[in-house]
Amino acid sequence: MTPSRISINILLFISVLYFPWWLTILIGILLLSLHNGVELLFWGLFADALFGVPLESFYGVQYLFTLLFFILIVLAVYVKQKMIFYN
Amino acid sequence: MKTILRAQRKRARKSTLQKALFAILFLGIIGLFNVFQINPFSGVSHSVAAVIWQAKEGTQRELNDFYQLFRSKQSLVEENRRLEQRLVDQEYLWISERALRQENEELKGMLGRDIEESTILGSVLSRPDTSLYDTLIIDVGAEDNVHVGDQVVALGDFVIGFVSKVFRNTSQVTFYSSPGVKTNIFIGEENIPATAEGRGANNFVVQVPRDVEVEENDIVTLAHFDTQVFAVVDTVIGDSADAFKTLLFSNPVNVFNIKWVQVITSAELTL
Repeated sequence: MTPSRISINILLFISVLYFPWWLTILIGILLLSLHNGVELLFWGLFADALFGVPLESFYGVQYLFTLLFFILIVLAVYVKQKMIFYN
Repeated sequence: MKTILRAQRKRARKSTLQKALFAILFLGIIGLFNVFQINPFSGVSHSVAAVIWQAKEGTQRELNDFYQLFRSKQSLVEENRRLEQRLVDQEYLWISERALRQENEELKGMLGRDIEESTILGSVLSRPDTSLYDTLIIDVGAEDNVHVGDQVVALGDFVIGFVSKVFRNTSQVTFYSSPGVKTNIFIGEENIPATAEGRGANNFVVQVPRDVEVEENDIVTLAHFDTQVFAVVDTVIGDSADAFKTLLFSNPVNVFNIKWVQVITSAELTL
């Protein structure tokens, strides 16, 4: 684990606890752009464990962060395969 | 050369298959957890987060106290005068509110309906903008006798939500205004019954028949015996051609700024 990856993970932990949700997502995207970022699933589970509640407007899903981060990871894998920058 | 390329392609396919299997397994587990409405990580997460949130609150208080040492005497004197005046103004309001509350309790007593409520003061650890869910985390939990379903009140009289999850030392509060949450309410002096739907950020919408008499600034209360304010009517939208009119109302409490709430742990109705 490189220092930058560790730093971003620490930032993610703080962000989940204190920062607005959209900033947490942006930091997650930063992690994915610089690294593999699979640990984002862990942070998604952490955020959902803290705040998750089944709301009707979200069709009763209380794992929104986890699913969102999962989609971001899949997208990142796909995009990185296509971009010369990551090859 | 061809053999090497073939082996590499085989390895790549195997790796992709493994990743796909992992993804399906992961989604399956999350789906199961969601269907059964369980989250096995909640307890541990809240225990860890509660320590950090409470440490932050404590540090902030210490820093505020420390900062006071550097303020000029003049600014402290001015702030003191300003706060004293505010206290005097609030005292008049408090006296009249106390008289009204006393009268309310006496009337209930005369009608043979006394409600004894016990409340717990809770500090807000996390506000709704931190998550996608429009929830609040407070620092009271099972050890403080908080239960799922307990009502949560802010600024003394304004009902803002209910306890949706309880942990050892923390609880999660879902707002009545969370999108999709439906609440039975009474509107105005005539206590017109209706069902309010949350729109997020302390806003609600409700539809009532066109000929129902409702005006802006009418008070909305919960379908509960005690008269805690739920919201105030902001806008009435209606057309003489429509059979219904739409009411938009909001709770005056700014949930993005509150520091303290009260949890009504029990409301015993004695007849």
